[in-house]
Amino acid sequence: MIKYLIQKEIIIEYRSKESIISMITFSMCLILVIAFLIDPLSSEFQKFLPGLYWLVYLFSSALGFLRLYSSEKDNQAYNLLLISPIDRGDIFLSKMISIWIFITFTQMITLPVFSIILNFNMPNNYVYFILFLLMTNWSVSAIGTTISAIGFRTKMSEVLIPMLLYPLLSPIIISAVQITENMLKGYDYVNYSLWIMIIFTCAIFFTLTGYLTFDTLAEE
Amino acid sequence: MNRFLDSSINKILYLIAIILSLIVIIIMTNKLNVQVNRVLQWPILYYHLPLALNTFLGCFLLAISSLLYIITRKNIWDIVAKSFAEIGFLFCFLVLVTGSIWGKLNWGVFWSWEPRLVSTLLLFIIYIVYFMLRNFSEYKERGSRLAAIVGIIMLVDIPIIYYSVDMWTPEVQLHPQRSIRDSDESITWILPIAMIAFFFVFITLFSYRFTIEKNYQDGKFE
Repeated sequence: MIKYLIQKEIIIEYRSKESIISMITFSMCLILVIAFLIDPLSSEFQKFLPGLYWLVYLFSSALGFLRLYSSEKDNQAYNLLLISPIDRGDIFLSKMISIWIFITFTQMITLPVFSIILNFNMPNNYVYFILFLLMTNWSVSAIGTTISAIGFRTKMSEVLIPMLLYPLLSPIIISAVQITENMLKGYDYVNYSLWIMIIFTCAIFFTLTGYLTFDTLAEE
Repeated sequence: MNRFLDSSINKILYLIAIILSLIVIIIMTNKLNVQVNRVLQWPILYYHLPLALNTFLGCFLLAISSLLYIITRKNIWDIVAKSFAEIGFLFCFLVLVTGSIWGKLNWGVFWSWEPRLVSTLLLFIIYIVYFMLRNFSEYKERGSRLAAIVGIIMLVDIPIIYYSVDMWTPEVQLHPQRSIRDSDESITWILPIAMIAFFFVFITLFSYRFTIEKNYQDGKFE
């Protein structure tokens, strides 16, 4: 059943292209702002790059989370989804996997732009870096899907979702920046194994929390 | 209407809290004359650390009562969770304030971007969002339910605060380490007393808030 639900999300996104286009455009805008704020040619700039990369990426992914459920408010599509004979955990998993795909797709496009415009040198061990990005995306989407399920049916969802998202994302932000910094310097896995563990733990914890509590969250 | 001091348990709690707090104050003022080391120059250990540990306790109790609310759906657990959240929020705020005052005296600044301080600030922000969720939901039951889930998720921050002194390298840290308890043997007996005193203050405040909220929700104020 999850397969069909993901297929539904991807078809909707393929036809409307709302989330991906807005996330990519917003990332570009942020890259532009960063280039205005700090001179990209200065030597200091390279020191901030890992942090700036994650800032661009996490800010743009918040747009995706804001759209994730609210796009189903029209024509009461969300209520129809809830009354259909599907396990509610499956709805959560399908939402999470689809936003994971969208975020990864956005990253595939913005990462080359980031590296070309702002001289972000990709780490030498590509495979590990990409695996790390995929895992981080997974935990970010797990947290984001849970948070937007909590926030979107309140009166101030546009305010509440980012306000709850960034404090809870902070372990991941910190770990991701540390890992990227270590990878860019070419250090061994031993130096950043703790941070990998934190991201991994967050991924498992929030996937489970979302899966188990979605039944409660989705109630009227 | 049930008044707070009508119940004998509340009276006993109230008395114990007052007596223990007085004992801590007396010990603290005596101890001030004997300056052991730099950390003890200011009697921060007698209230900052107990406040912090009781904040953790408040978070745990909030998570447990939220879980019980989700499972049983009884309104009483929602009232319990709300009361724990409010007192935990107050304690968290006091931890930040007392820590800042101590920081100004010892480090020369009120705030430093240091792992333990930042993770405590995060807990404070999550508490604010918790109350926002309660108030901005379309109707009360939904607000309670959503807030209960945030109350459980909030627990993630507690190990981060506690283990922050281990996770980051010592160069980026300013906050005193956990080994501070080995620096002076008198801490080993003063700290438990202070902790128990603040525990009773916590429980008394909780009981007071619970009584008010229960009266309010039962409509006994009219």
